[in-house]
Amino acid sequence: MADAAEVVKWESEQIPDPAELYMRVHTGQLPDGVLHPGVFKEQGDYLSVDWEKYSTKEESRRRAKEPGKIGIVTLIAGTVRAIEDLRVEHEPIPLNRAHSGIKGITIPDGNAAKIRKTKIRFKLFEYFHTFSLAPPEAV
Amino acid sequence: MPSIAPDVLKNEEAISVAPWHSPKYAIWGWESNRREDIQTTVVSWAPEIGNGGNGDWSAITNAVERSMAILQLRDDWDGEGAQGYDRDTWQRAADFVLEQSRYARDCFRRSLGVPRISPADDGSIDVMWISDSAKLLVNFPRNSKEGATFYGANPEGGTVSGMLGEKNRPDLVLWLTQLK
Repeated sequence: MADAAEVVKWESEQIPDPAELYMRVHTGQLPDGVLHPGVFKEQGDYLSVDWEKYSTKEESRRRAKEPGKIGIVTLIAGTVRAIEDLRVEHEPIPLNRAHSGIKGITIPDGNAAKIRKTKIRFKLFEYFHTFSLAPPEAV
Repeated sequence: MPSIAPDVLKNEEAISVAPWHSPKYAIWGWESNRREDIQTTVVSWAPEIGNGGNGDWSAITNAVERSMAILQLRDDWDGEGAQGYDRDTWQRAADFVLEQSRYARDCFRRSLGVPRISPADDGSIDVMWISDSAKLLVNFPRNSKEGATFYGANPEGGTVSGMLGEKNRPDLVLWLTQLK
């Protein structure tokens, strides 16, 4: 009989270019209720997203600490990969098989890296600037 | 300072001592929680500041004032360890918006339009101008010694990018005003 406390380990998979990625945006980031480039915010060294293969938008929202203050922005993996040399990688965790990360936004060393990061955020916003699932609570 | 028309100079002198334009005042207003004083000051100056688009200037200063709400975001405001925002960072962003907007108005008789001033990662603040013909993003890091960065693009494929460096950037004003 399996141990009830056994942790599930999901295998990482290759995310295809047409795949949708769900990014959570907290309404606290929106002082005037409008999306902006600052919503593309890394946690550590990657931008956290959920892969549509293993999550719906609503499920992604409910994973947040304050689901009532979360909207979802949908990104397309291939479009993200076409921005500079960003990587989109599936990194499932025990409680979330859909967990994935956009990596390569921040790189070390110098002013060129900082300018590049501003460019990346600019381009991410240019492509993805609307909610696919609006926050349930008014901003 | 760029040369400016004589009929503007008088107002320019007034602006140089205007409490609204003083970082010290902005901080005082915030600490005193007397936001209505800041707003009153901005509105009272607006009719005295040249003729280059009073409505636009008021909209710009209103946007700057509203952006002070960013300062309410303290450390861990999202419950997931997000960094808060400080007055110095906001002040640098606000000063930049006002300086460039005033330069465009006084030297080119144009308006840059109302920018979005928004919280970004690691305690930094973004300023973004968006129009049908140009977009420009400027990021002010929390650490002022790091310097602000910018990136802009137009529909024709033209781009501009770099470190902000000096406080006044007439080249960026030209970038935005040429394309409107």
